[in-house]
Amino acid sequence: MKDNLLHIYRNTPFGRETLMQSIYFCRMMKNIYLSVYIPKHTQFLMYFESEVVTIDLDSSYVASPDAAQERVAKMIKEAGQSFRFLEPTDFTANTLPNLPANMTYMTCPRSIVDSTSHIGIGYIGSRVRRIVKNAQFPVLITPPSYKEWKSITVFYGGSKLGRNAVRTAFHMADRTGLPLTIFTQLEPKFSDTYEKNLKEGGLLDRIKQDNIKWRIYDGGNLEENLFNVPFDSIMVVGAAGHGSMKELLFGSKLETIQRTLPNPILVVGPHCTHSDDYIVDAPSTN
Amino acid sequence: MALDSKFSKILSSLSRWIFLFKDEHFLLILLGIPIGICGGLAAVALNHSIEICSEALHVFHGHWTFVFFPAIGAVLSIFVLSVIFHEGSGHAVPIVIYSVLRKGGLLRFRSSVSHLLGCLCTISFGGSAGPEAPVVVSGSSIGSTIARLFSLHERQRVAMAGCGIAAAISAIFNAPIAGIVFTIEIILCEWSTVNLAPIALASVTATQTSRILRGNQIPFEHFPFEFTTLDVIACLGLAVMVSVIAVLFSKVLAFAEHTSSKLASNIFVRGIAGGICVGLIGLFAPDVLGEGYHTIRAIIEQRYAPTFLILLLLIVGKIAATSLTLGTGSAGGVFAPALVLGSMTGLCYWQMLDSLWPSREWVGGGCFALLGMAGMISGVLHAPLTGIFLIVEITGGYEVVVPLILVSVLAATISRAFLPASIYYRELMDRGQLLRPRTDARILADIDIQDVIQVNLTSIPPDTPLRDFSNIIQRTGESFFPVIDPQNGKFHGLVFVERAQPYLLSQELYDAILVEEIIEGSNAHVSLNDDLLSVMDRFEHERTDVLPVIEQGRFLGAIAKSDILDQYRKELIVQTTT
Amino acid sequence: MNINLSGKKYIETPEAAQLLGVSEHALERWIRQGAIPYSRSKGLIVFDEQRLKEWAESHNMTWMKPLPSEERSKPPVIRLSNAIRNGGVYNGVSGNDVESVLKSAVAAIHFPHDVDREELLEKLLERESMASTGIGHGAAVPHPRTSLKMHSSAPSISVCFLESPVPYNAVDGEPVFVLFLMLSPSTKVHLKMLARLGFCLRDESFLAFLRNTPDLDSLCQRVETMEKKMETTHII
Repeated sequence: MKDNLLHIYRNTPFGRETLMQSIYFCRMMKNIYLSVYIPKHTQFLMYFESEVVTIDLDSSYVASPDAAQERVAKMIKEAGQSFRFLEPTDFTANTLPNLPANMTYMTCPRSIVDSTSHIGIGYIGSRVRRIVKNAQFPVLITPPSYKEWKSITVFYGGSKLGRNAVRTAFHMADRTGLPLTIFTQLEPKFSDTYEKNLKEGGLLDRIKQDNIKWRIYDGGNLEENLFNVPFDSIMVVGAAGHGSMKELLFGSKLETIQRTLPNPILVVGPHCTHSDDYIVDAPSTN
Repeated sequence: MALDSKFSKILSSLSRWIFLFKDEHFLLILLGIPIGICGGLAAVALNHSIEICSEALHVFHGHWTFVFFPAIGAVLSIFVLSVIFHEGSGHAVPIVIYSVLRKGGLLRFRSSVSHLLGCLCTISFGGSAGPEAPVVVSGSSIGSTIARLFSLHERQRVAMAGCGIAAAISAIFNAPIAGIVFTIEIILCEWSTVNLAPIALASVTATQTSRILRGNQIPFEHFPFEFTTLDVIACLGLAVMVSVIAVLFSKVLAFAEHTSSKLASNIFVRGIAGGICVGLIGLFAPDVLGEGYHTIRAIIEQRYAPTFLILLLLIVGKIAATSLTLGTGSAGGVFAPALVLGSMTGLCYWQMLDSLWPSREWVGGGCFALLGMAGMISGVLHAPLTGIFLIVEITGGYEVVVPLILVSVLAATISRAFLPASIYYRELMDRGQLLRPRTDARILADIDIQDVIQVNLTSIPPDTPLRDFSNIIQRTGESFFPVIDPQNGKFHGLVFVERAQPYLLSQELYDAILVEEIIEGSNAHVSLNDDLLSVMDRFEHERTDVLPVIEQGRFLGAIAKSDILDQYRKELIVQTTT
Repeated sequence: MNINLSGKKYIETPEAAQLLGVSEHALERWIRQGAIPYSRSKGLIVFDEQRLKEWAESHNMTWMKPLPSEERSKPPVIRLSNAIRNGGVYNGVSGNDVESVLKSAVAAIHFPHDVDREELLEKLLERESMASTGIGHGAAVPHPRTSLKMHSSAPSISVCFLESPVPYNAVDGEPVFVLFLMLSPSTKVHLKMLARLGFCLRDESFLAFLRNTPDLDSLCQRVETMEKKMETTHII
C-alpha cells in the first residue's frame, strides 16, 4: 500500500511490453501498488521538489483511452496484481494535468516519445533523463521487449552517491528474496575509498553478514566485464548528478551500461531519498 | 605562521558572512534585488518591444488589410505559446496563482519568456490585451528559478515568486506600492512579515530599474483636481456604473473562453476566427485595439472627447475585442483592458453628469476617468486596495484619495455580489483549486488519504459464525473489521462491533448468525484519488465514522474520522506557524 | 572545521514520522515546504532528534517515544500460572466469616516486604463490603479496588484453601472453599487475569481438582495446560 509504481500507459504493442515489465516488477517486489496513468492529454507535468518536468507524449499515448483502459485492466487483473488508474485531479492549465511525484518507483521506456529508430538500447530520451535527475524515486528503464529477471546486480563504482544504489539493491533483495551481486569496476579515484564509503553507509557489515557476492574488476574495460552480468538479472545503477552544466548527461558508467546491457535497469537518481532499515551514522561535517 | 593566521582570519570573517547567508530572512531580502532587476528589465523590454512593433505596423492602421492583422498576431501568439513553449493558452495569471497556492511557487523557467513573446505578438498586431500578466508570469518565473538555484524550500520560493510579481507591476506602472499590494492582495492572499521585506525590496529595485531606463515619468499625466462634496456624492453613481461594466466584462470574457473551446477544437482556427472579429471591430473603432495606454492618456488629459453614445459603443467594442482576443487563446492579460474600460466608463459618466446638470461645474472628466480605472480594477479583480494604490501612485497625489476609496470599495462589493470569483480566480475555482492559505479547504487538500489510511486491519471471511467473530473481537480489541472473501479477495463490507452488539450479547444466536448477515448495508467507499473534502462530505452523508478504501474492487484499508481530525490539527499547526 | 557533533542523535524519516505520529508522506511534504527542521546527510534526509523534539514541543505536537521493538510487536503475555507461582498456595486458612477468613489469609501469606498488610486488609474488606467477590462454584477472588503501591510489577495470586467452607454472599449462594487473592500492578492486568481465572473456574473438572486441595506445582501445571489451550484457540 505504501509503495507505488507509476506507469504511463502507451496504447501500442511496445507499451504493452512495458506494462508487462511493470507488472513483473510489482509481482517480484511483492505488495507494490501499480498506478497506471492513461493519458488524455498529450502533455503532463510532474512537480518534483525543485523542478517542474514537462513530459510531452505523442498521439499513440492518447489514442482511444477507453479501449486502453479496458485492455490494461484485463491484463493486470489476469496477472492478479493490485492496481488503480490514476486520474489527475490537479491541473496547471486546462490541458496540463499534474501527476503526483510522490511515487516509490516509476517505469519508463528508454524514451517516452520515440520514433522506432530510437527504441533500441543505447539511447535514453531527454524526458526520461530529466525525470531520473529530479525524481525522489528510482526509475525502472525497461528494455524494448518483456524480459524476466531472476537475480539482482548492482553496479557500485565506489562513490558516496553510488551507495544509494547499493542500498536500494539491498532493499530489493529483501523484498524479492533473489540473489544479489555487487559489481564494481574500480576507478582509480575511488580505489582507496570504495570500501570505506560502503562502511560509512553501514552497508559493509551487511555484505559480510549475508555473504553477498562482490565482483571487483580492477582493470579491463567495462564493456567486456559487463559480459559477466547474467542475462536474466535486473541492473541497479546510481545516476550521479553532474551539476547543471551537464543536466542531461548521466555519469559515464551509466551511459556505458545502458548502451551495453539489454537488461532492465533501475536507475537511482541523485535526488532519491530512498530510506529503509539501514541505519546511517551521524553526519560528520559542517 | 603569519600567513597561516592571516588565512584563518580571513576564513573566520568569511564564515561570519556565510552565517549571514544562512539566515533565512537576510538571504531572501538579498535575493529580492536581482529578482527586482530582472522583473524590471522584463517589463521595460516588453514595453519597448511593443512600442517598436506597433510603430512599425502603424502605417497599416486604417487600411482595409489591417482587418487581418489581429488574426496574424493571434496565430503567432498561439504558435509561440503552444508549439514552441508548450504552455497552456489564455491569460496567465491563474497559472501563477495556482503555482503559488498549490505548488510552492514552482514555475517553469520557460514561462519567463514564453508569455512575453506571445503577448508581444498579440499586442503589436492589434489584439486587445494587456502586457501586465505576461510580465507578472515572467517575473514570478524568474523568482522561482532563482529560488531553485539557491535550493530554497517552498515557503521561501513562494516569497521569491512574489518578488517577481511585485517587480513586474511596479516596473510597468512606476508604482512600487501598487506592486506590493497587488502581490499580496491577489496572488499570495496572506500578509506575513517574512514575505513583505523581500517583496518590498524587489518592488523598489524594479521601480528604480525602470526609472533609470525610461526616466521617472508618471505613466498618465493629469491636471490637479479640486473635489467638492457634491463630486464625492456623484462618485456613488460612478461606482454603480463601473460595477455593471466590470460584471459585464467578466461574464463576456468567461462566455468567450467557454464557447470558443466548444466551437472549434483546433486552437489555430479559434485564434484566426477571433482575430478576424477583432480586426473588424478595429476597422470601425481603432481605439479598442492594442493595450490601449494611449487611449487612457488621451482621456485623462482630456484630449479625447467623443460623444456619450460613441463612448458607450467603444466600451462594448473594447469588451468584445478583449474577450475575442483572450478568449480564443492569445497571450495577454486583462489588467490594461480593464484600465481602458475604466477610463472610458469614467469619461462616459462625466458626460452624462455634464449633460444632466450642465449648469454645474463638475470636476474634470480626466478625474472621473482615473476614478473609473480604480473602480474597474477593483471590480474586475476584486482587489480594491490594488485599485486605490495604483491610482494614488499614478496620479502622484492624494487629493483624489477620498472618492478613490469610495469608488474602489463600492465597486468591489457590488461586483462581488454578482460574481463569486474574479477573473483571475474563476478558472481555479471551477477546478476547486482556489485554496487560500490557512483555510479549511486548503488544509484538507494538503492531507492525502495515504496519510490517514489504516492498513493493518484484521479481515474476516464472510462465513464466520458469530461465535468465532466474538472471539476475534476479544483477541484483537479492534472496533471494526473488513469482511473479505479469502477465495477471490472480494470485499463485502465492514462490520462494526458497536453495531453488532445486540447480536453479540445474546449467546443463543452465536451459531445462528454469520458475519455477512450483519454487514452494514451501505456500500459507500472512497478511493485513493479522492480528495479529503469530498471524503468528509461522504462521512457526513453516510453518518459513519469509518469508510473503506476500495480500488478496483479491492479493499486497501479504512479511514476513520478521528485519524483525519488528528492529522488535520497537525497540519493546521504546521501551516499557521512560521 | 569539524565541529564535534557527538551527543547528537540523528534519525531518519520513518522514525521521525512515528515520533510525531504522522505519516511519512505528510512529513515529506513538511520537509518540502520548509516547515520542519532537517538536514541532509549522505543523500538521506535526517533529523536531529533533540531539535525535532523542541520543534514538536513549540508546535504543540505530540511526541511519542516508540516502544522498544519487542514490546511493540507483542504485548507481554500475562500468565495465570506465573501469578500463582508468585503468590503461592496456602492450606487450612481458618475463619468463619468473610472478615476473619481474609484476616487470617492476609496474615498467612508471604507477601513481599513492602506490602502493608493492614492497608491491604482494609482495602480488601472495603471491596467486599461493596459487593461480594464470590464468583460462584465455591471460589472467591478478593482484591483491592485500587492497586497497591508495590515495588514488584509482577501480578500475584495467592491461592488460600479454607479450613472449612465459609458463607461468602457469593453469586450462586454457595459457601466458599478457596480464595484467589489477587494483587496486580494495573487494572488491565487485573482484568486479564480475572478473565483467565473465570475461564478456568467454568470447567467442572478443574473445580473437582481444586476440591482436592492440590499443592503449588500440580496446581500450576494444571493451570498451565489450560492456559495453553486458551492461547492456541485465541480465546483470551
